[in-house]
Amino acid sequence: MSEGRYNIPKQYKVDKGMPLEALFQKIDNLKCRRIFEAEIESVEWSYHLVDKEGVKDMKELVREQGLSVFEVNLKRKIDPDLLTDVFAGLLQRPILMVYLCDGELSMGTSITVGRSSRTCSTDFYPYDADRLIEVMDYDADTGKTTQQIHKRIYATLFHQKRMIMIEKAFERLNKDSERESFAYEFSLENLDRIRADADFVQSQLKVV
Amino acid sequence: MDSGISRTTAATILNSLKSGVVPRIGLEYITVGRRSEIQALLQDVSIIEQGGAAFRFIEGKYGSGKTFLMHALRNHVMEKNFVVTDVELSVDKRFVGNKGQGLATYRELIRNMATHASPDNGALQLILDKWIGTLENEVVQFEGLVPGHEVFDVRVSQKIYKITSSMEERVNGFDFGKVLASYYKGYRKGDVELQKRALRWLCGEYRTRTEAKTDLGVNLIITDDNWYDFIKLFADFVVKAGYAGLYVCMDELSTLYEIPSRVGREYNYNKLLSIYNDALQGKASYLGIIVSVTKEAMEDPVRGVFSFEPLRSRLAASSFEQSGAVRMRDMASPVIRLSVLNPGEMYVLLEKLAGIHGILYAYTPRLEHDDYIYFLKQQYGKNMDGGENTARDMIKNYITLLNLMQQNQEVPKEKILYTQNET
Repeated sequence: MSEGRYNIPKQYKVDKGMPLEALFQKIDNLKCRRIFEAEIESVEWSYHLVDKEGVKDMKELVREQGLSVFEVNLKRKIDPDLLTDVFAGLLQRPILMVYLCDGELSMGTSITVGRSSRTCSTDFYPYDADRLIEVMDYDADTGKTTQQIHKRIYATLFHQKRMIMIEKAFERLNKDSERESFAYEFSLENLDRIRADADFVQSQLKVV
Repeated sequence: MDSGISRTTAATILNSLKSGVVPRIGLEYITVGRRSEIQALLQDVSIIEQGGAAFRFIEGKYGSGKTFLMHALRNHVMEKNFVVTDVELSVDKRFVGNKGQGLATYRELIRNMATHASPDNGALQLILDKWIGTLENEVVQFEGLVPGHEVFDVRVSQKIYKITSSMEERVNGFDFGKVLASYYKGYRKGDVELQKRALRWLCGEYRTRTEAKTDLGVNLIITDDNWYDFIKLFADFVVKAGYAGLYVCMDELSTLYEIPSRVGREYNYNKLLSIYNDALQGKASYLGIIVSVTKEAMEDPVRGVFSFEPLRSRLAASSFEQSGAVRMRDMASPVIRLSVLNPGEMYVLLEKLAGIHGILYAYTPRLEHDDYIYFLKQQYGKNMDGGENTARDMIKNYITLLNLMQQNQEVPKEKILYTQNET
């Protein structure tokens, strides 16, 4: 993740790899723990957004309340909702998760509303500049608190989630109709009809 | 698979397709998915045989099979005793132009005349000789005279002049008949030079009237303006010479679309209009014309054929054809719109090609139902990824696959098929 893209005030680069073994030990559900252990390659705490300016000491920074951005590299795709939900429980802080797998990207966030928390994750989508979700917005986020920024990110992801869902459903629709069309084209009935037509044409074109 | 195909024909088909060109022979064995188009065109042929005329445009994308269809029909009508000829329109060969491009088209058409007995072009002299021979036979058969008899030449000459004079009522028919008579005169007297001069004239190679007057005693030469009249005269004449009619194939009408000047394009479209009108108004007889054109060159409103309103109003598809839940085509329309072969049709074509490959190399191809489907899905997949993979490209790839499988029969087919499609 480039520094420039997240270049807003009060955002600090952390660049801290997380101790996976210790982290995953906290997962209660054994099956879930096995999935995480098997499929997650690395988790990195990339950035931390705080309301305090001029933090110079890393220890002080990570203690500050704010929004933490984590980058998770996956060996295989896991449901982003599950990932976000589990990471929210493990990390116990406002988070923005970025999941990367096979050149595709997904984002998830968990936000505390009163005593409960809400999570929202997008599905995986091809990672390219044209489709990048602009979660950090210098203009929109200037002068805002991390809580306000977090709410805006939540709303953005919620909107993007829907868009990606529609896009994927549409792709599936096209693939289904393509599959149906191929199934018909290569059906024995259709092939026999075409063969009969071709034989007829051959008989017509041939001059005895 | 049809067992009537010879190994020579099989070799020609496969070699041509592998090189990306339409084979000259054996097209009936690989014509797939064109039933209604062929029926419509054969209907035209029967009208031409009965003294009518027909004009068709074959419109389709690059690689949709326009040339293939034209050649298939060309071969068929040639077998049906038609004289056929073809020209590929180009910068130098159009309907009309200020540097003799119209005449160049005519010359090419005459040069490319072919018959069943002379399928590889250059049949004009043969047609003329056959004409004379037929008349001589008639005199022998019906009048009991033998060559060398003192009246024999007179009787043949009478028949010749009867025919040539019957053409006089046609536009430019007087001079055309006179040149044919000169050819006969040369034939009878053994004057090869006179025969050559007559042929030169018929081929449109006389540059000045004076020269034609001196050599043949005619006041007319074939030019950019009048060449189509002579095509009509030829259509009439070949029937008198014992053929069923004249069938003209013109490929690459898109060339007109590429003429940079609007005036130049309009002159050409105007000539095309007069040829079209002639054919459909009954002014021509025993003449079939078929012209291939891309959709863009046809329908582009700025430069295409449709930019010329008289042609657009005659050729545009009817609203009945375009609308409706089920796509229906009027095959009696002057424009036959070719769609690309669908996957099922491609499947049957591949099957036929495998059979032909088997005949050529005397083996049984190892491809099965699933293999065809796998190959086609791979090819269509490439197409969907943005590549312009036409039927031509697919067939080229497929013949390569067949060659590899035949040459490496000890290798499992899956290995070749999968590797082939990964590239």
